[in-house]
Amino acid sequence: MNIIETKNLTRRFGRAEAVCELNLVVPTGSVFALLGSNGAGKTTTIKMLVNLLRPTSGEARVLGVDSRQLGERELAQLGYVSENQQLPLWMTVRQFLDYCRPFYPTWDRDLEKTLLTRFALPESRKLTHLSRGMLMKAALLSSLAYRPKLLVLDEPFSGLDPLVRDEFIKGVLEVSALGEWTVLVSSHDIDEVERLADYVAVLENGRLQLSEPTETLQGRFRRVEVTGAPEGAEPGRGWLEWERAGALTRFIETNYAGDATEDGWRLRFGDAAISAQPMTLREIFLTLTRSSRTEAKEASA
Amino acid sequence: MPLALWAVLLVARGEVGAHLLRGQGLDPGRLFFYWWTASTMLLWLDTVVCVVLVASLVHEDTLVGTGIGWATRPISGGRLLAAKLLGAVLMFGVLPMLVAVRWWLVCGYGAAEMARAALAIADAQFVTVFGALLLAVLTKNMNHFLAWLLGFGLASIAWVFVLSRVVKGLEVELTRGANETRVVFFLALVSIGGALTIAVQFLTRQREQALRVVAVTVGLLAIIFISGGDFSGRWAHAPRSSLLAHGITVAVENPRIERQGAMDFVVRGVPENRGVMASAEHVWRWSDGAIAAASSGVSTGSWPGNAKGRFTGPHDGNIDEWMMQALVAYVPKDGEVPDASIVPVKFLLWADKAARLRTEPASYTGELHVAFLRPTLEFELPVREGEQRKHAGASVRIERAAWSEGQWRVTLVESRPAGLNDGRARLSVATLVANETQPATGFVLVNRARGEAVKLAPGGMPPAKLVIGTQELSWLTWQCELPGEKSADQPDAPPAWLQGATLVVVRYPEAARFDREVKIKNFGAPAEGAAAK
Repeated sequence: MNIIETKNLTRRFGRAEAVCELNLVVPTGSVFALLGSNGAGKTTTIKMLVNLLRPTSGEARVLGVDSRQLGERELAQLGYVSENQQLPLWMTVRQFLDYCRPFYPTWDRDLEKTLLTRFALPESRKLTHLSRGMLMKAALLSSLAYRPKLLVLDEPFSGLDPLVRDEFIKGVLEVSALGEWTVLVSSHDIDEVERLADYVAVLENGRLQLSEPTETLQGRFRRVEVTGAPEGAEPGRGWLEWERAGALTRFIETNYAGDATEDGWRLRFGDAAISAQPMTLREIFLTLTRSSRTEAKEASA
Repeated sequence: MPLALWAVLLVARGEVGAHLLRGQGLDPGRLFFYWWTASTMLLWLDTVVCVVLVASLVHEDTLVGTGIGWATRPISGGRLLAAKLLGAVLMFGVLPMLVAVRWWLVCGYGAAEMARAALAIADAQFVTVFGALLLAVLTKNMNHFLAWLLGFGLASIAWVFVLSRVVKGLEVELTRGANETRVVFFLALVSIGGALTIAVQFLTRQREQALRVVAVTVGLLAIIFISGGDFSGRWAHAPRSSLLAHGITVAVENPRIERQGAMDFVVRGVPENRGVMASAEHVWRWSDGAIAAASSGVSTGSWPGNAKGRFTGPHDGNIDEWMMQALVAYVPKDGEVPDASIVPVKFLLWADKAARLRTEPASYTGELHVAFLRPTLEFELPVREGEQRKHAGASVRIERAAWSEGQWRVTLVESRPAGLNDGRARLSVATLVANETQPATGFVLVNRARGEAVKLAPGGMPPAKLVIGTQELSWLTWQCELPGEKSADQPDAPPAWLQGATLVVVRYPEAARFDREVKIKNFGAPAEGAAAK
């Protein structure tokens, strides 16, 4: 069962294509990270998913309905937190929560209290007087307290100091562990997402580069160093960032599958010393982004 | 906070009025100007703050942009629209009414006057709020709103200018019916188009669609204005008649083309104990049917009186037989009595049309709407400074009464409900559709012991008027010569006639109406059989 499915989802602004024929599947119960550099199309995609923007073509189904038809029933099960979200800044934190509560039949007062304590939010302070981090936490609280089936976080970490970021992530992790919650988080802050996500999708120039479980992704990427590779050795399929410096050859294997892959390397490099290191999500993301940009340059040339 | 400031502004207007009604700052000269300025500034400030508050109310949950907070909460557009409309009614309808209650009580309003005043407030507020709401739903924030407001104002001026050039170029016939059609279609299209735009924005948040609705509305308005179509027959009433009209003749005399067109309306046969007031629409057509000139309502409300300029009548129980006889008995002392009421009418002509009219006389049709006025005694008060009478929201107070140079002169402060159109101080639907005129007021000085009455005439300072909320305040100076012998040894002393005299305030509400059509075949040539009975 997938909580989000998009089919050829496209959004253009004039001639510029912000999102191009995106086919994305977010499984129910997952913590799904949408990664991409600035301008990759993450925010546009998310705004189409929560019906803040209309797709130019294609469609998205969220919580089982067309995103353009999201009604009160679906929105009562959806939490959305964004850095650019409009909030009633003249309200105090308490007033804001009191204002939101009646809209949600599933609002959990105990969870609200727990999160208030955890986030150390001053109830009597107006939202306009909160720091950016506090404001994001207030928005998150108001989107968690009714235990939404789907929580959408659009660049929630940007501008937050490490401490607040940590509290924020812990908050999300805690509540996501409480039940069958799905979290879709977009970010270019990969280190933080790595702690959260069990699924990852990478967008670049509005196009989907990959989408798969984090474990699988990290499992199939290896940074490989070969010392003493024979002269004339050529890069294999799925190898990125191939480079040679004297006796040292480096590349990134994108289809690592354990012994079978290592056997393949030995056949190619003979007696050379081979070392393969797992990669962080950040390294994988940077590799893919550089590779995509190189391909784009070559294509345009 | 802004709402409180607005309420303070509304209260301040009422306080200005209460201050003036108490008799402070009543010099109808220089001081009046300051009060008038203060009241007008408060009115404008109140309107501006109201517009800004409407925009704030909408922008609190903006409908434009992709950062809309409420759109990701379980709040439907319809629910939000209902909430905003309720908020608008409470903030911009109920609040000003509640704030006005103190002012209404100061003015002596009863339930009927309050209901009428509440309707007037609702009407004037509706126009302001509707216009502001329409712009606010299409804009993202206050800066955006103010920029659009400026642009909208300039665009409207440009649109009217271009449209008037087009209409003039096409020589569209602007008859009364065509003008009425324009007003009716303007109100209908703006109401429907505006309401649709607001609904589309709330329900879909698709500004492109909402702007398309605006464009279609503006296009339809342009078509109606350019076509000059006349659909007034669908709502026009049959010519009215009244038994009271028997024996009254209306004629056009002395039609002439000078630098502008001119003629005299002559009314004969109005009984001495009646008064009439008329408005008229005029159309001049050439033989090919083209309109040479047209004007409507030229003489609205400016045509009072019977031939002798008096208003008395036997039909009002308040004017007793004695009062009527006293007035009639006094009239012959007035000296010259004309046998007809003559109203000169002038109309503007473009130079080319005037030249053509001189060589090619046009036919003329005048539609007159005549109202009979029935005098009603409203107040009777002793002639003493500071005396005041109140009834049904109206009041008259004698500010000063003095005898000098053979004239008795009285300065009065009159306060009356301004009517449904809020005294025309603010744009309202009633201003556009209801040609409401307030009954005229007259003053008579009466000495019952002597059985004599004197009609006062305006004199001294010109009247000064000021509209505060739904109430109109006037400073009037009226004067008369007094009958009776002057004291031989003290010629400057007030005549003994004033002893025991009272000031009677007479109102002239409409009693009946009739319509007349007057035609001249060749305007410019001497009228032939122009009289219509």
